[in-house]
Formats: sequence, C-alpha cells, structure tokens
Amino acid sequence: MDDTQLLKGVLEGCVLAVISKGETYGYEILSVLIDGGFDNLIEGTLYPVLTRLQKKGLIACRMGKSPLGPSRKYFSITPEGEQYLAAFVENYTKVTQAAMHILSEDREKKASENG
Amino acid sequence: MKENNEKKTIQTGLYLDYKDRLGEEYRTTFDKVEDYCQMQLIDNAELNEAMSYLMDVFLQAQEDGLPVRNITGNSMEAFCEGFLSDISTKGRVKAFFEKGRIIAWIFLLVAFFGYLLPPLTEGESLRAVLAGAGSELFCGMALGLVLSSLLDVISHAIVRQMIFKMKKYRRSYSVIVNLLVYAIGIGSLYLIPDFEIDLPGVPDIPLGVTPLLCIVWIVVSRLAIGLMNLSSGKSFFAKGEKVGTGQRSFRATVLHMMVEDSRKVFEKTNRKREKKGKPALTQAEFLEKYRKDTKKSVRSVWLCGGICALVYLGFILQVALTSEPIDTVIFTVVQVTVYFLLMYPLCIYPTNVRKQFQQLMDESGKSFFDEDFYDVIDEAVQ
Repeated sequence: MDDTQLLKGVLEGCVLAVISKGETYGYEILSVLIDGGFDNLIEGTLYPVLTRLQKKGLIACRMGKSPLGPSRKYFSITPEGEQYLAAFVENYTKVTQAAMHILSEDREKKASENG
Repeated sequence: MKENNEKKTIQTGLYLDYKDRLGEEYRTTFDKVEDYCQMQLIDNAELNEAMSYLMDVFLQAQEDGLPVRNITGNSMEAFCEGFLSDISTKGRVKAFFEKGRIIAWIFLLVAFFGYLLPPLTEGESLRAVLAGAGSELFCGMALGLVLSSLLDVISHAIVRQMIFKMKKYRRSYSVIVNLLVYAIGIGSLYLIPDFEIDLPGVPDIPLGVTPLLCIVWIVVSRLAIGLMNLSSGKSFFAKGEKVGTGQRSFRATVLHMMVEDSRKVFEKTNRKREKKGKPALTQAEFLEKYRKDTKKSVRSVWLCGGICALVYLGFILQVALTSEPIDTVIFTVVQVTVYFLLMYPLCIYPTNVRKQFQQLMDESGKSFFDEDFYDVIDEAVQ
C-alpha cells in the first residue's frame, strides 16, 4: 500500500518534534527520522517540509559554518512552532486512538467470522 | 604576496566550489539534479539555496559512507520533483519574466530611443509618436517577451524529460533542444497573416510588423541570456541581498567571483604566452599589469560615457530646435533616464566594482592570489 498520504499527514509534526529537541540541520533530521522508523524517507521529501515550516514561522533558521561544505542552515523551533507542535500531538493522539479503536474492532470482527 | 602553486578550493560561497569534493557516484547524481533544477522555473536565489543545502547533505552522507540512493531514493525524477515542490508561485512567476528581464530593459530603452527620434526631429509631437510607432513597437516587444519566455518553458520541459530518460544525457543537448524549439516557434510566426486591425480608438497596428519584432527580440534575447548563463549556476544577476549561502551580500559575492576570474585570467594569459614562446608572467608582474588595466578601463569608461553623453546632447539639441518645449522636456528626461539605465549596468557598475577590487588590494597589501583576500573582502563589504 502506498503510504505517501499517511506520511504527508504526520511528517510536518514529526520534523517539528525533532527540531524541538534542539537546534539541528537537514541531514541530522533525516538521520533521526530514518532511525525512528521512516525507512523510505528521502531528502526530496524533507526539504520542502522544512521550507514550508520556515515560511509558516514555526521554525527559525540561521546560517552556520559546515565542517564539510557550503554554509549550513541550522533550524530551531519558534514559540509558534511549540504551540503548533502541542496542538499537533493532541490531535494526532486523538485521531490515532479513534482509528486504532475502529481498526482493532474490525479486525476482531473478521477474526470471529473466520472462526 | 606569495606565489600560490597549490590548487586550492575557490571560495565564492556558492555550492559550485565544493563539487570537486564529491565522489563519482555523488557527483553524477548532483549534476543531474542540478541540470533538472535549472530546467525548472525557479528564482536564482532559491535555486542556489536549494543546491547549497543539497551539497551539504551529499557531503555529509558521503562522509558517513552511505550510497547516494539512501538520500535520493530509487527514482531521481520523483526526488527532484519533491525537492523543488515548495517553490513559491511568486518565485516561479519572477523566474518566468526574469528569463528576458535584463535584455527586455536594454532593448526596450534602445528601441524606444530609436523609434522616438526620427518622428520627433521631423516635428511630430511625442503623443502622436507614441500613438503610432510606439504602439507597434511595444506590441512587438510585449509579444516577444512573452513568446520567448514561453518557448523557454517548453524547451525546458522537454529537456527535463531527457535528463533521466537518456542514459548518456549531455548538457549540450539542452542547447540543441532550445534551438529546435525556437526555430519551430519563430518559423510559425511567419504563418501569421499581415493585416491591419481597425478598432475605434485603437491605433492601426500592421500585424506583419509584430512578428518581425518578435523574431529579433527572441533571437537576440536568447543569445544574450545564453551568454550570461555560460558559467553554469553562476549569475551576476542573482536576486536578493543574500546570495547562495545567505551570508554574503551581492556586492561581496561579485567581488569573490572576481577573485576566481582574475586567477583564471592569469592562468590563461600565461598559457597563451607559453604557446607564443614568451616567458610566463610572475604574479607580481601580472598584478602590475592588472593595476594598469584597471586605470585604462576607468579612463575608457569616462571617454565612452563622455562621447555617449555628447551624442545624446546633440540629439536633445536637435529635438529642442524642431519641437514644442514640453516635448523637448519630456524627450530630455527620457533620454537622460535611458542614458543612465544603459550606462549603469554596462559600464558604471562594473568599473566601480573593478576600482573597489583594486583599492582593496592596495589598502590591504594582499592580492587575489592570497586565500585570505576573501576575508579582506568580507570585512570591507558587508
């Protein structure tokens, strides 16, 4: 099943959550997300999320020295970002609890029908 | 000033400086992504920002020993489409018009001057001229601007498909596609019949003139834009105060690029001298020659500017003798504006930059051969 749509819904919140832990940069965010279970996540998906969050004012950006290449963008969460993240976590928890409830009910029903 | 025999990374602040640090796999992928992104409607500043970000990610991933597919996934096309999916609409519209922006202004002003002059010297008023020749001209210029930008969009869409579908894609293929698309586009203009429109209140515009103006416009503007884009990725017309890395101003970036260009001129000069059997110039000799050339170019600009000013003054006097005072005033204001709008980007700005470059070398005791000259530039120009 193509999980692109599911990913779209949660990625912004997850990226914000990673940034809220401390100032970080693109490659590090990608590594944390992949280690956290987003196996198929690629930089082409992450970069537009970061630019969107920046445009919305949920994250701030500063240019810093990179040890390897051109200057690097370091991202940190803004107060608006903190509020957005808190609201996201609340809504996400509500939605997933409701979804799990329905899905697990459905699974139990099917299991009992199959006997 | 010390001789610099070692080839060091040139620091213009753009991602281009770091391409040599990428391994073969990463380099090939980065070049393809860059080619694809340049075939998108994207503002130069946004493009430089995106490519700098990607360069940093690639270098870090390479350092960690990851294959490039871990960063891009299996579909390069999907990666590129996703990577640039958040370009602002405003940025795209800006890029659409930026295609012919510089040439648009230069030709608009030169042609405005050329079309206005003969009727005004024959005694016609400015208003009458604009109602007649001016409307044909502007119609043609506007059509040409839109048409050349549209043809660019079409050719870029074709090239984007080629980049990932052809295993042996080369950058020169984009030139061939551009030429073909333009040939078809321009050729189809000849199918437009030559007739006059006759609407109340609208001046007669022989439409046969419009395609001709479009053709001239498209060909010349495309050539000029192509020349400006010769060094891939670099643009002296990158918008915004912060270019590429977000740290440096436009003037500082131009000066940084002059460091690299001056070193290249030094190498090229000595290669030519070697071919002719002449001894190579030392850095000190080249710097002395550079200083003399700077003085010469400043004098040439003054001379050229002075001659142009005299010519413009002659035209203004001619118009003053044959036209109404109000028309003379309007004509004078227009011509003075045209003069400075032409002279500033073509002569005044580059000469000022060159003078500043020489001044920084004189004051700091360093030259463009010294790596820490970049710091001198950054401290002086913020």
